[in-house]
Parts: sequence; structure tokens; C-alpha cells
Amino acid sequence: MPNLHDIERRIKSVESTKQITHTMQMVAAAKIRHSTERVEAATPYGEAVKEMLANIARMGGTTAPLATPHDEVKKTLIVVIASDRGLAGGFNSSVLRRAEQIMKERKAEGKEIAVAACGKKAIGYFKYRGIDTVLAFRDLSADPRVEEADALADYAMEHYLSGEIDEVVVLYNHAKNAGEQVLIQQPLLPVNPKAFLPKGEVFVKGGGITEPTPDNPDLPGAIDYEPSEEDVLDHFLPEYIAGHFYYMLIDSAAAEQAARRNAMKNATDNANDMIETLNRVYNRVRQGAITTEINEIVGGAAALED
Amino acid sequence: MSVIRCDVVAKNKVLFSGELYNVMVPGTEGELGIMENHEPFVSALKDGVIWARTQQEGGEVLSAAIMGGYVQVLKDRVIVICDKTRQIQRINVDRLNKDIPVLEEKIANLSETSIVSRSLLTRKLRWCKVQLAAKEKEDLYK
Repeated sequence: MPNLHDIERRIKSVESTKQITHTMQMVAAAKIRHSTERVEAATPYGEAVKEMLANIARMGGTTAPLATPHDEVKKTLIVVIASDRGLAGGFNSSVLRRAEQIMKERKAEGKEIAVAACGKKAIGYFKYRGIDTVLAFRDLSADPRVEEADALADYAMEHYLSGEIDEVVVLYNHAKNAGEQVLIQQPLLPVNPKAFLPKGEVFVKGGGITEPTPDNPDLPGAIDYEPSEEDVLDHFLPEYIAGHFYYMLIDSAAAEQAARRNAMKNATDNANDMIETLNRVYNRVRQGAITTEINEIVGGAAALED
Repeated sequence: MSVIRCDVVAKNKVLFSGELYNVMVPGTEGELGIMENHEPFVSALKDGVIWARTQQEGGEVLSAAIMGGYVQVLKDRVIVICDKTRQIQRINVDRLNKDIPVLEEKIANLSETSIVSRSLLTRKLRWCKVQLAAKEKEDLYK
């Protein structure tokens, strides 16, 4: 039988843990609003850019260097977007596990890997495993800045164009809604405008004039670029890349807060359950002690009477 | 009546989304007027003013300062994306006149090494000047 004092201490300790998890839950809940608003504000821009890229694909595609795949994929850059802090459930581990899995696959195929890590958790994870990171960002996961996205974009594009990297893949958590995060593996380079077309849409590459389909019976000719195709796309595509990096960072920040709130809510609920059970045990033990005491008194009195 | 479906979006907001009669944008090669059935094209934009009408006669007029953008036209679909935009009526000249000297001073006092803040501040200054220039020409866009 545990003694009363021990149970009391246990209850107090669980209660203080509950207070902490509950506070963290409230803090995360307050931050969710701010971070989802930021994502919502950036979404129309992202959608407009995607529609423009889809239109370019519809009109025969482009030969801009950033949109041209390399002949052979030798080296892949994996950008891993995790967070600076833990206690967010499976938020970090799911991203990191997937990163590790991709690295194993690529290594088995004899391909090289470079890793860029965002967030202390990702940096620590790769450092512990002796994997060098080409870029590392810390202290920014809650409030990503445009400069961070620009640095990532510049590195990726520079090395893609120079031929050192043949493919860029980004891993991050997408905030589907306040309760659900979805792990997304987004191929970013080479830019593939076709990927932005609605599923099932038919088009012909190279000719400039798209084949008419039942949905699009009278398509006009090829796209004119002003001042020139190179001038426009050499600026527009980098802008898309940098913008998309930023979008993924803020999306991941929103997902982080949501994941943390869920994790902390579960922890608070568990603490509540535990306190309930402990209270029950406490009362039973106390009652047992009282019964024993009364028995003793009654027994003592009976002994005196005799 | 001929209409174009037009979206004007900046990085952090939607300026306009809906149907228009025509729209004028400051292309790098000169002002562009876009109506329905324009040939498909993509163009970079200069800093300046975007101006649109919902109807040929009467109707609403939209005019806004924009910075660093692109426009894409495909049949009746027009997409304008930009870094910054603000409706001309909402530009506050007094505030800009106050901000510009402050920004200029900050840029002048920056050390050689702070490249990031320099580019950030010069962008801000550029945006202030674009807005001011747009406000001066407000009467032209009515």
C-alpha cells in the first residue's frame, strides 16, 4: 500500500506538469491565428504564380535553364524544414524520418545527397548522425524571414545552374487545417510547369500551339514575352522559387504551432486522467487508514470493557 | 459586353479579383492596354500605376501604385503579380514625405557590411518614391 504522503506528492507533480502543458497549449493556440493569417495572406499570390506557370505549360512550355531537367540526376539537394523547438508531437520526427529514408534510397542508387536544414531540431539530428549540412538556419522556425528564403533559393539556383546539383526536393509539414499536418515532399527544381496543370489536361510540347481539346476548343498561338523570353523567365522563375521557399517556411511555421497545440492538448488531457486516477487511489488509501484507526479504537475500547 | 477576368495580387494581399472591362499596366516596353482577346503574352512591369475600368462608360475605376511585377494574358484571363501595391486614394503623402528623409538618412549611415539591411531599406525607399510619383499623377487616372 503506497502511503498518503507519496500519493499527495505525485498528484502535485502531475498538476504542475499539467499547468505547464496547458500554458503551452494556450500559447500555441494564440500563435496559430497569427501564423495561419500570414499563410492565408500569401496564398493568393502563390496561386496566381502557379496559374501563370500552368498557362506557360499550356502554351508549349519553356526552355529556360531553371525549367530544363539535367540529363542525369547525380546529386540531390534535400531541404528539410523542421522546427527550433520540440514538444510538438510527431512534427519534427516525421520530416526527419522521411529525409533519412530518401537519403538511404538515393545512396542505394549510388547518387549523392546534399542537405540544407532549417530549424535547430533538424540541425541537431544531422549533426548527431555525422551528416554535413550545406546550409543551416536556426532561430527562425516560428517567424521565418524573406532573407532566409532568399538565401535558400539563391543557393539552390546557383548550384543548379552550375550543374553541381541536379534536383532540389523540399520536405516540410503543410498545415492542412488547425488539427492536421500533412508531410509534403515538394520537388522544386527543375521547375516543371506541367505539374501545375489540372490533372488530365492534354498539351503538346514544343510546337507553341496547343492541340485543341473539348474543354479548350480555340486556343490562341504561342505566348509572347516582353522584353524577351529569357529576360522575363530569368527573373520570374527565381522569384517563384524564392516566393515558394518563403511560402513553405510560413506554412511549416503554422503547422508547427498547430502540431504543438495538439500535442500539448493531449498531454493536458492525459494529466487530467492521471490526476483523476491518483485522486481515487488517494481517497481509497485515506479511507482505508481511517477504517483501520476506528477499528483500533473500537478494539481498544472493547478490550478495556472486558 | 466584353470582360476580362483579372486578378491583381501582391505578395501579402489581393488588390483586386473579378471582372474588368480593360486594364492598363506599365510594361517595360511601354504602357499596355489590355482588353478581351488580347494576344497571349507575359511581360515584366515597371514601377508605376495600374489602372482599370469595370465598364466602358461609367462603372468603377481602379488605380493603384505597383512595384516589381509581372503580367500574364491568356484569352480573357489576366494575372498581375507584384511585390507591392496600394490604391492611389489610400496613399498618404504626408506620411511618405516624413518617411523618405528618415529612410535616406538611415541608408547614408549604414556601414558597408550590412548588405541585407541596405537592400531592404533601398526597397522601402523605392516603394515610397513609387507611391509618391503615383499620387502626383492621381488626376490622370480618374
